[in-house]
Amino acid sequence: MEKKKILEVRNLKTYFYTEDGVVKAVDGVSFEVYEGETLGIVGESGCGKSVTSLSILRLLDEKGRIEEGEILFKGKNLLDLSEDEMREIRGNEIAMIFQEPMTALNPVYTIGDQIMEAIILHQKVSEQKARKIAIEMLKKVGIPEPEKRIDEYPHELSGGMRQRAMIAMALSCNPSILIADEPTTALDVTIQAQILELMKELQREYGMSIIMITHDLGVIAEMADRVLVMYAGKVVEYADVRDLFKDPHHPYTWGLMNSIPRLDVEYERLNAIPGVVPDALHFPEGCRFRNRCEFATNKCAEEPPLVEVKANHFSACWHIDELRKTMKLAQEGETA
Amino acid sequence: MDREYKRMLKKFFRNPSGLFGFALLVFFVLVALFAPFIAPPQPSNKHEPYMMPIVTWSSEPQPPSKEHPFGVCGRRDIFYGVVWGTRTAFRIGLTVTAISTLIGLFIGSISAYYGGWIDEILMRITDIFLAVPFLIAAIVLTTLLGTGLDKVMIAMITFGWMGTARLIRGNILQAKEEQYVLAAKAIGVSMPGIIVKHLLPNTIFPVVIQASMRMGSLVITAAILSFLGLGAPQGYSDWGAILNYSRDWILGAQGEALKYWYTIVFPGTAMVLFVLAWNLVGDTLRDIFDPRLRI
Amino acid sequence: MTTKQPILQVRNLVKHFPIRAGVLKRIVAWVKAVDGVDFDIYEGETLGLVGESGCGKTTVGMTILGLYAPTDGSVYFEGEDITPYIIPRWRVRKYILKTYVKPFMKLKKDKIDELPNHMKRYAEIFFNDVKSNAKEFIRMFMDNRKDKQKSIRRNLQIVFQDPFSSLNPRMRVGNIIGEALDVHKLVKNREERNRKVVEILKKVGMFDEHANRYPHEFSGGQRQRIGIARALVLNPKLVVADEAVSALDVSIRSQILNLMEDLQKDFGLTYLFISHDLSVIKHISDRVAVMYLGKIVEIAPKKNLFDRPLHPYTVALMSAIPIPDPDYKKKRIILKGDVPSPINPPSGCRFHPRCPIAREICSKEEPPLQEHGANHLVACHFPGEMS
Repeated sequence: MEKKKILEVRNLKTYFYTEDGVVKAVDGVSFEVYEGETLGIVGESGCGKSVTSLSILRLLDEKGRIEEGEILFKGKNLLDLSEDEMREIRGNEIAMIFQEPMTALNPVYTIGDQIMEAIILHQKVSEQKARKIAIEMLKKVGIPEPEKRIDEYPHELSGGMRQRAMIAMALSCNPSILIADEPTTALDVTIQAQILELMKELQREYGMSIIMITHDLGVIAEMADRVLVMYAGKVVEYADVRDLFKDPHHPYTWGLMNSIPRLDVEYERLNAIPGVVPDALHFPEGCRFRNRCEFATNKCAEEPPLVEVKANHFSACWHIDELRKTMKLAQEGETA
Repeated sequence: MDREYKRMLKKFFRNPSGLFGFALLVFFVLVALFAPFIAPPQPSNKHEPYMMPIVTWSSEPQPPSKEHPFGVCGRRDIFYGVVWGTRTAFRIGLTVTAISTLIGLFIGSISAYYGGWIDEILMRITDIFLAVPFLIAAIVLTTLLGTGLDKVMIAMITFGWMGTARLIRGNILQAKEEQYVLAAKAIGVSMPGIIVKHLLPNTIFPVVIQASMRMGSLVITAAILSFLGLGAPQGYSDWGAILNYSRDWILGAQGEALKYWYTIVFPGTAMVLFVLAWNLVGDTLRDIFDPRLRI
Repeated sequence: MTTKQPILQVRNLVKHFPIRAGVLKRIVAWVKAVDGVDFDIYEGETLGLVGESGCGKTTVGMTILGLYAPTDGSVYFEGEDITPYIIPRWRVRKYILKTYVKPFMKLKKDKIDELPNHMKRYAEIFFNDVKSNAKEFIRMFMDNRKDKQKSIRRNLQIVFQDPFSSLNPRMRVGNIIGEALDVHKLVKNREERNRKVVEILKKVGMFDEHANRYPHEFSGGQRQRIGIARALVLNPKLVVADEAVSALDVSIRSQILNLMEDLQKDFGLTYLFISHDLSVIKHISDRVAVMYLGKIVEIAPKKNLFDRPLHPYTVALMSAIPIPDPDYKKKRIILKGDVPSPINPPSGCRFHPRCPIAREICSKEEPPLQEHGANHLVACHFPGEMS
């Protein structure tokens, strides 16, 4: 069955104009999100993954500007909408949850007030009805005694409970897309497991699409159907989750996978990627990964295009062949 | 930090109000430095140049004229008083600010660093000082010590350190949680070493900003005390003291409310500009360090 | 393991923090951050200390270093009791009386050999050197206090989590690293100091010109290297790494982990590696201790622990880690509820309200940390039932 595209981002460029110069935080990013699926966006700090999500909702601060591109949500370009029309989309059609729920929730209102505000705003229902929906939502996200908890303030809840409340607020208007920006990074692993499980359950129930932004390859493997790997404002690889992990086609993806310590594999020594994550003001010309890449040649001074290397698997690298040879050798070495 | 300083300077001079404040300040400094040339003392007051020379025997103020560009009031030349009063203003401002800031820094940093009952005692003492209405305390203190500019300054120092103490205490309490402080302890750095090398350099900027803002307002406070007759003696070059003589002439003459305007306007303007200069400089400094170090 | 000597022994370590409220700042409650912890660290090994936020793992590290004064319990470094030097002076007398003098008074002289090693040493001093004179015995711990404290500082160092807050932004890198040398008067002049600073900078993979720069000119990974250099410049024997790689980017994290392993070999270091990340702990440790709510629930050599976790919490923790392999299917144990507050920890076994296999006894009796197989200690009434 052909899946329906719900969101399509084409050649998005978001720049920030700072005193020190122009930061090309997102520089020509394209991807699509299908109905009911989870798209994972993975990358390190400063790779532009959060800016991408903020651009979709047009929530950039005054220094940031979307220079180019299209963001097509259900066929209409969000960049052409007025601020009023955009408000209708935010929270209602596309909702977002953040890394630190403590700062995303307003400390002077009860969580009930905050959930009800969104419901009343978008669904135009009475206060009693909104309260009922809010309690229902809190129950759905697994908050015990929702009738009591609805009148509590954010600081009275634990980190895990706050994230649940955030999810309740985000889902209260039944959005088509939920953007989750590092939703479990601030949480403990046992709580992270709870939240990830909850998100999967709610996705099954509501059928919304999720854009999962994280730096954690483990979370990606667990949650995502398809993955976008970002590095320094660019997409370096874009593929099916299984295909990406089994058969990476970009030196960065491969390096990243080898550099993390894993619970299921024993390494004598980690394969670290050398060098530092480049400063957003001074990205290298051409391939932005080249000064850390073991395969880099003069060719890499020219920017590699994102091309389809096999069915539904895209990569932006000039030296995929060399990479694959090395990977094969490494694999043989492992089995031998 | 050299690069950082350059950046700050650039930011400072890109800010028009900061630049204006800085220019005003430079102007006042020049006036204070060159007072003997701008308004040379007469033979009659050569030995005490801060006393405004008596230029006439009529007690009625005289309007600005060629010899006395700001007019005459209380038999004395206002121009001379305003020029030499700049020195007085700087003396009051700098001395009081410097000493009270040092006291505040000392008390605040000890209080914050040690915490516990030391903090409790020092902060309650601070509260007591804060609870006393400043003017009344200053009046009581000057009646005990006697009047005079130095006594006024003592009063202002005694009741002027609490703001700094509280500010630095709050900042240090915050900075104390930074890991570099813990790291310094782990290395074995002593308590004074940690305060001086690690805590103060990271917390002092708001204090400097606060001090520069206070510099101006202190001059007003001193003027109020002088106006009440507690400060500078008769004839002393002090903006507040000049206003004090003009008190009798503020209401003007019968049917001519503004007849003696010059007795108020010149020293008053000097004072307003002086306060403005410090505030603009302080404001700009705060904007530069914003938002992390907002007071 | 038998040939190796413990470099650090922790006995019944307790650290409670007071919560004060009201005008008089009366103590209204205690946060029982660390509540009776015992473990040894052997020379040259890496002990991983893992647990979730609020379990007290950082407090353990800070207390061992003497950055917090322990509420109760003892810390031995190379067989010497360093507790008297990390608690305030006014508590030393009471501590010595309680820990040594009273037990020794009750002890028959010929029973000295039955004491554990760390006690035996002091019993011999007490009976032979000071001839049971308690006053003189206490004075022994009071003498040279400053020197002893300095030697603790030199031998025990720490690498912090946050590479941004752990370096003083107003000091040059050379001074950040050199400060320790000045404090301990390890260098005679500026040249020697500079030489040592550059030497250590090179060891951690940086260059000599970096000494003249300020911290904000560096990236997170480089700052963490500077933090490591600061800790190592004193040539310590034991380094506590408190979440030393948690704040770093994935690709940088592995660089720092590799660096720390290299330095361990170079300098013959012993690590106490504190982290919430079980994967990192598994990679770097020789032995692993798992903490939950102020207690150690399981401690074992790495292989034993990961192959055969005995405590239900360890099992749940392992199953909660997302594995970067989409085909990796496993049965995940989702713990219910949140970690309880360390102000009012649950009765009995502290894990029982969240434990999938808890029974009645678990809420009543606290399970002791007992050996279950070689070097494998676990505090559970039903060890191994869940694996």
